[in-house]
Amino acid sequence: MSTLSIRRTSAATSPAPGIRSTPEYAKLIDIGSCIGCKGCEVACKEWNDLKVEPTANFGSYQSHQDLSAHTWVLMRFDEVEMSGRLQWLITKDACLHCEEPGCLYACPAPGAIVQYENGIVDINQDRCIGCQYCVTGCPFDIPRFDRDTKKVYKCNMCVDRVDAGLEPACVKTCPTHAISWGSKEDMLALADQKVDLLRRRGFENPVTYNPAGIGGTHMMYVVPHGDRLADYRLPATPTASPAPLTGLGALKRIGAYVLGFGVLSSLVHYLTIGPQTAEDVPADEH
Amino acid sequence: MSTRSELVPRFSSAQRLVHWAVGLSFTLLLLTGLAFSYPALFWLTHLLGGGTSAMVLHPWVGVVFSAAMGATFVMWVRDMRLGAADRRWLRAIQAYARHDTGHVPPAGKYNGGQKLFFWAQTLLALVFLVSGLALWFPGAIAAVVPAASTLLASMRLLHYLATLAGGLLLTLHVYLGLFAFPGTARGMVDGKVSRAWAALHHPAWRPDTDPVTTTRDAERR
Amino acid sequence: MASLAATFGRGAMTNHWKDIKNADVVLVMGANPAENHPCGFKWALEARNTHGARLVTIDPRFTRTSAVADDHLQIRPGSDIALLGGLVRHILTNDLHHADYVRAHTNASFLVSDRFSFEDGLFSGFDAAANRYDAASWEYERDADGYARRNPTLEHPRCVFQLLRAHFDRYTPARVADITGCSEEAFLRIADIVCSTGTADRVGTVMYAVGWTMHTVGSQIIRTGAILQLLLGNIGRPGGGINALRGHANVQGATDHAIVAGILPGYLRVPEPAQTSLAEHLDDATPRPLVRETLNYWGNYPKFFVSQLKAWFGDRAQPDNEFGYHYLGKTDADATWLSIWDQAHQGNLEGFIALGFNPLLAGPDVSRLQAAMAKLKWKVVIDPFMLDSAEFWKAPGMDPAAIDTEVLYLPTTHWIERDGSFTNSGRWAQWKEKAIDPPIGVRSDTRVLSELFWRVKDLYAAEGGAYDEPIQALTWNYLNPREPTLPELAQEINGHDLASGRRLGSFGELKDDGSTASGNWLYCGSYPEAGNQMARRSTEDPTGLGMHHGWAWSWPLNRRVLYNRASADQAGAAWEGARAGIAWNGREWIGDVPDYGRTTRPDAVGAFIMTEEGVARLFSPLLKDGPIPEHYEPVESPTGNILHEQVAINPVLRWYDGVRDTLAQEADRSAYPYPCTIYRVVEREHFVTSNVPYLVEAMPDFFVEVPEGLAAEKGIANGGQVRVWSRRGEVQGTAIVTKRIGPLTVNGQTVWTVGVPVHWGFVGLTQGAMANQLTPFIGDANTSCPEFKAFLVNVEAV
Repeated sequence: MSTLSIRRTSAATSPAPGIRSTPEYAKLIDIGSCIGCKGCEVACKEWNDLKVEPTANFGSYQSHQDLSAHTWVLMRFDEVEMSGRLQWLITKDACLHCEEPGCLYACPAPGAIVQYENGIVDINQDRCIGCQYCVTGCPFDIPRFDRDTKKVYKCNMCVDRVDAGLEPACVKTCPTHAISWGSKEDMLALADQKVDLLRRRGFENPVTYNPAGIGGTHMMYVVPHGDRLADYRLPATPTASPAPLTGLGALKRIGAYVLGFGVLSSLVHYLTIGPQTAEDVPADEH
Repeated sequence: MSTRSELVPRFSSAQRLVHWAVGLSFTLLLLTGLAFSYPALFWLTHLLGGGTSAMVLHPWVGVVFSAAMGATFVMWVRDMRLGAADRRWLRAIQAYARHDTGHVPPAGKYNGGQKLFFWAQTLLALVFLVSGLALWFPGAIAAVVPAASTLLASMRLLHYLATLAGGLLLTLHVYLGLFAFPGTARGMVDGKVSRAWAALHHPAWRPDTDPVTTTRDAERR
Repeated sequence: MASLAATFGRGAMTNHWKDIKNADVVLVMGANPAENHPCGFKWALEARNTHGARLVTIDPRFTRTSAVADDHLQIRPGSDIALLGGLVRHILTNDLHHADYVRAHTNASFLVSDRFSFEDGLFSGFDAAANRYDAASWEYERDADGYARRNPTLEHPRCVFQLLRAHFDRYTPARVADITGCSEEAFLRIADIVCSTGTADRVGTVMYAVGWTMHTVGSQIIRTGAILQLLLGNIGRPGGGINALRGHANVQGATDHAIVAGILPGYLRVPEPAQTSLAEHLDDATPRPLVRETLNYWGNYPKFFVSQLKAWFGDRAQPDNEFGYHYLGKTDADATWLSIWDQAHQGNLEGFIALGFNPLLAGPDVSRLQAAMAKLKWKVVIDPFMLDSAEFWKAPGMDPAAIDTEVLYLPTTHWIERDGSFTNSGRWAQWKEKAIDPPIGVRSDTRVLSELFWRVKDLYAAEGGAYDEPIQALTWNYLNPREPTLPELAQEINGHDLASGRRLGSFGELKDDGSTASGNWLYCGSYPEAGNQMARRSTEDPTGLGMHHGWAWSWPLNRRVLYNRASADQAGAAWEGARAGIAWNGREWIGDVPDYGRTTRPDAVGAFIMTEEGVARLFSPLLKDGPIPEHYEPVESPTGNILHEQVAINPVLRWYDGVRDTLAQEADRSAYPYPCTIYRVVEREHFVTSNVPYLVEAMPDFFVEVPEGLAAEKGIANGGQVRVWSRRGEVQGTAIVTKRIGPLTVNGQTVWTVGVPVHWGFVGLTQGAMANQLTPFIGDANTSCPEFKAFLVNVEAV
């Protein structure tokens, strides 16, 4: 995507170049309409030409134990009892494209993580230095490091397709329309409708998952049992910067002065008191 | 009595080697570390071949640093015990800074400041090692620790704090060694200092009976 | 399919995929559409998501469909009729049926012969020696003109309505709970939802698939579902119907073109030996009306049949040779799946051509199939991929040195490498284009079959041979006779007027005098002079009901909902305005293409134009195992039949040699205590996807689903290895220990169900156990469709 669309960039020393006025997009996952077919998993791999990874059944319908540099979308399957009824929770695990992206904030490599005007958060692997700070910075545990390339990878919301006016591959392939795609505004309105419908269908706590702590996300969920977010593996109050990183940010600003002060005071000492050369000091002063 | 300009050995060749291993590795670590911390300094990663290779090499340089620090510790630890004399010296540190030699209690081979420096350096090296290992292998941490990202973020904080402290120490060390007290640096180059320098800075040091330098080096001389 | 034809006159999904969005209640039973029909299943969710339709699953397992359903009921495999019979009783005892509909559009009022009876599990006419029923006593009482007598008040004890009521009265909630293993409360909870559509303003649909079909009582399960839907007045209405979900993209098309034994394309009958002339065949096969006011559309059978003979034999089909009738084989041999392999097993089959399927893995009792295949002299496998069936001789446990079968493998194009049509479950024939080129050197199926035809024909010409006339007389008029194109074939199937050469626009134009030809009357109109209707892609939907008459083409005559006359009352007014299928405006029917004469008055003939009765059959004498469905236990069952102990299983099954010895008998119940069922998963499509790396990655290994409680009892760990064995064979795989299968209380005893998926074999990117090692070699009494869904096993940790 063109630099004209870059709204935020990691480790920036100057404002990001984005001047385009593009709508913000969002993907809306209607968990209650997802059948866990993994079509999105496969479409993601096909579109992005991701490697086939050797998998083995580990006592679940889930394909992989975890996300990886080669698997950017993973359907997670959990059997949970809720008010006496069995629920088979099937949750799409992939990048949520936060409005306040913790990964981007944590990244030390200039331009390695960018956020476009349309809300997509993307990693530029050619600038990524492989420090994995983004992994730590992500409140959803999404980015994955590849040992071979020493870079980090994650869902890029099919930014190439979106740039060409298409929906992401997972949206295109979803057979039950459990994934919707459109402007963030429209998706929020759609989410409201879906939440309303769930309420009319007897669900007591349906919610739209678009957490405020990170300014909202560009992949949102409609969660039928909003009071049981943890069962869906969704953190209730994610933040863009965990406390230690917020501290670090503040400290870095002070730290620069501290180091500067160290150098400066040496200079001042040299200029005011000056060096003390042993040969210049009379022997009897010892 | 020998002349004041006569040179006496102060550091063995092994000590000098280890010192420079620590010094060079730490400088590299500091500069690349600062590059990772401050976007404006990101260009410093080119010291190690650019962003990715700096990221790859930084921990390996850290390995060199840690090993050299280990050797440093072994070589110097016996000399670095802080005693009552050192505490007196430290209380007079302002006089030392002002070159008010008359008010500085006489130091032995190492003054209280150097000993404190040693222990601070050792402590920082440990912090670097522990936090650095965690940051080097975040995957391994995540595999065994439940809330790994908080822990790893804390390690980043610690690593940075240590960097800050280490940076200050290095600045001080370089300034004192190279600029404030001419003749000092030579001790780490050819291992020798002048008797005048020794008399001024380490009046209680007896170079002629120093076991570190009177064994092999003395014989060779 | 047999049971739908026996009930409504045509054996196909009554409605279509998109129509499911119009339902108020969606019952999914004997199917797992989220898993096996994910694209079509979206319409069930659409119904739920747009107007809050209730989605209910009834299944031995909590499936991926259940995961998005409003409610789920777990039942024991093979107890479906008990459950559905319970629902029928629930409707009848609580007067929940759509009374006006039942009176107008079903045979509820028909009087059945006083010779009909049902006692101790047997209907009248049972011949124990021959293992069959004589259906003579299942007929209607006739009046002097030969028409059926009726009782419009539905009060006569021998009217179908009362017979039905008496028959299902035994299916009390308590009995249903005992047989199926669910609780009475859960049954009633589900019954309240499912039986809530017996009104004019509500409509419900049923989605079923092979979970109903693949049983020894499969046809009767479907019949029970059809009765349920008729009583609720849901057949013929948008949002209603009984919807058979077909497996592969083109199973409906394949069935329409006679992939199953016993029919010719278009569901015409295979001539029988006794029918020694065309006239006799037509006389037997053409039904006569049972009431005055029926269109009895099958009365046109001779036109369809003669036109088909003309399509096949062209100028060699003339009135003086009975249009080539004698070129057809006349057989009473059973050529169903099980019989073919039974013949092979007995050494009576010389060769076998497997075209586009994998018989070794797709049939029951793999060990038996392997033994049968090893007795063939030759076997030809024609497929895009190397298959287990082509390499059966090196299957685990086989000794290649001991097998003399010559196996030929002919690689052919995959459908993605060709154009052509798919007919989906909803009867929409949709033309598709070639997506990619085939690998170099790979030939199309039509090329391979044409070559075969020409070489056989040339051999006959050169060497002569017994009865070579059918081959010599066969029409083969294609631009390139070595490789007909699919449009050419589609046009031939559509048919044309022989005098003018004009392609026909409707099967209404077919004649029985030899002046028209049509390969399959059902598809007449799919490729008229106006062009390929199957390739149409208009998305317009003036009805708003998702009928899309300008998208592709559906048989018959582009009609989207079968029996849509029943969507209106006797006067022709739609039961409900918003979801009107068709309605009478005083001069003609408007809406869908009417399943009725366009200008035929509403009261002129019955709504079900394909039946002799003019109405749908609640009571149907056309199935072999009874006119009313009855619960029989699976041949391997963990329990007795509490309805009639002496007749525990379907009494008219066909038993092949030695099969009884491969079944777990009553005495073996402790050795094989667990009902097992076989199914598919969404990541795989039968066996072909074991060649697709991404899909193998998504679902890599064969597994066994074990209920948590049973796993605890047996020390089976989630993700650990388990062995499952029946009397026929064993499989081993990774255990998925799950809460999704609970304990059942069947006749007072706790029963655990286990399940295994079918997709694995020994050829492909991953290897895994063949689930059909476990299944019994027995099938449905009517269709011979094998029992894949209910049998007994034991299980242990490895």
